[in-house]
Amino acid sequence: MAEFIQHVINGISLGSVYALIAIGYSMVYGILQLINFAHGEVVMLSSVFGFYVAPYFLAHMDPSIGLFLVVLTVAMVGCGIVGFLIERLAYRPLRKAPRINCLITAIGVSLFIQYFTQLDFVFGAIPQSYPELMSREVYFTIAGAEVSNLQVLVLGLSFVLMVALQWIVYRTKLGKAMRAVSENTEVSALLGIPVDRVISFTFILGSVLAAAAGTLVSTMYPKVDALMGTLLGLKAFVAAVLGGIGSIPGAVLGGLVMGMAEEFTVGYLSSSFRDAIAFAILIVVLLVRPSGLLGKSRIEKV
Amino acid sequence: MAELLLKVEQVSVSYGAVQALDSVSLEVKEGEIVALLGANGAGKSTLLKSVMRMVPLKQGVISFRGENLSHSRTSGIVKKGMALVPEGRGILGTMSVKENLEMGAFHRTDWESDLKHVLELFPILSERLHQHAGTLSGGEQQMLAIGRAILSAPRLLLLDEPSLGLAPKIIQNIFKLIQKINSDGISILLIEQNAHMAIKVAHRAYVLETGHIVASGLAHEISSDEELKKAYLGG
Repeated sequence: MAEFIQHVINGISLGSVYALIAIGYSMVYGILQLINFAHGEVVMLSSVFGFYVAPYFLAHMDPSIGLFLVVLTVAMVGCGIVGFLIERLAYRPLRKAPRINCLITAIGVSLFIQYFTQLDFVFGAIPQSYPELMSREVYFTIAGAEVSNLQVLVLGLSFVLMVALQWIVYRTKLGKAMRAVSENTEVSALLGIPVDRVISFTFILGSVLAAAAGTLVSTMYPKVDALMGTLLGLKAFVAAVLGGIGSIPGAVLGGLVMGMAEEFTVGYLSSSFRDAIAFAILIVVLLVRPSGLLGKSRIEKV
Repeated sequence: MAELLLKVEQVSVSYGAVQALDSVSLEVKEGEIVALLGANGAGKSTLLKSVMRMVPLKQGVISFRGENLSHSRTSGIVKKGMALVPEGRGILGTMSVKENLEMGAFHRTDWESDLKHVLELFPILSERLHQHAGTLSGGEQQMLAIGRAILSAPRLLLLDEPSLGLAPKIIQNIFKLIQKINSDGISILLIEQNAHMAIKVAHRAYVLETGHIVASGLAHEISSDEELKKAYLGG
């Protein structure tokens, strides 16, 4: 029983990270019908930013929640800028181009960031260890299962960010404009909504959440690697599809299910299936319910 | 003299090999209701879309209050004081009625008093304010679409087939409201297949046929022209 609960707890905390990344895929898809394959690279860059700035702060601060929040803020700002630039430089010039061009560009941007980061004067191809921002300790135990302070942090931060996102999307003018643009871009422009600015805002928002995910991942598994974004991004993408791409609550649900599935596979099957399970889920979803758990099937107008 | 609001000069638009508009010119002055009549496929919607810069011009100039719009974007044109209620109404169905209205006023900060005015004009909307806009009936959606456009504070309102798919009684109501909006100081360029109704409320009219303007003049002149009557007003 203790083992089962332990897997649930681990699954939820891993799932929250997937959820944070999946939201970015889903929001961008909702607005541009584009799978932004470079999104996983933003997660990786968040860890790279943390890797470089943490030593400066570590010179003045001890590992603590405060240090974590400082590094997180830097990573969020950095990734927000990266997200803005990716859209501005790579996708905006293709606004009127066929969707396949955008998709190929997205893959290109992803590869560009990966290989640029691997250059020796940028970060390098060799994985590095991520500075310790917080020391891991057992926070409390439930029924024999241990919950670490990092897991509490993951859950708490994810929850706060998702509530904040919900507030932005439903209560602020720009958030409402995001929903308007994702429902109907043409009508939104006719209402005087500056569509390009709303799209930029969406990329920034998604990238800021990705930055949180990256910093959390590297805090839990203290490693930075220029290629770490690929698998994380792909799994989060599967989570977004599972939840119903385009739907924010769907992305959260999909992320949690994915995290849980992965954790149970590792626990009860074999850790060598850790990554396979994600793609098994993808295949099943596409066969059984292509619109995802919370997605609505769209009728394409011709 | 009333100010010239919209001036369309020799505008041509084509979709691939199909020429949708061929050297079309028209004007709308301050205070007017102008009807744009013509059969299906004559190019009426294309003209309104080209005015809002939703389709690229092949040729010609469109200006609003003397300003050339060729470098403006759709959302920028709305700010300048022109709004289009598109065919099919373009309601944001997953958002509430209130949010739809709020989006109409996106570029403004001082719209609360205008909201009151719009709700007086369309009382049914105040009952439905927190409902999803997708649950409204066709007539209510049309009122929402017009109310939403008014909230962008336009000088000129472009209406694309406001009577489409509505019951005759509701159509009458909509046209009464169009006149009311006009008397409040908003000029109107109106597309209609229901030419009878349109010509009744309009001051002037243009008739479009396969991309050309074939007639224009005061509304009563158009409606008394026997040939046009046969062709567009059903005898």
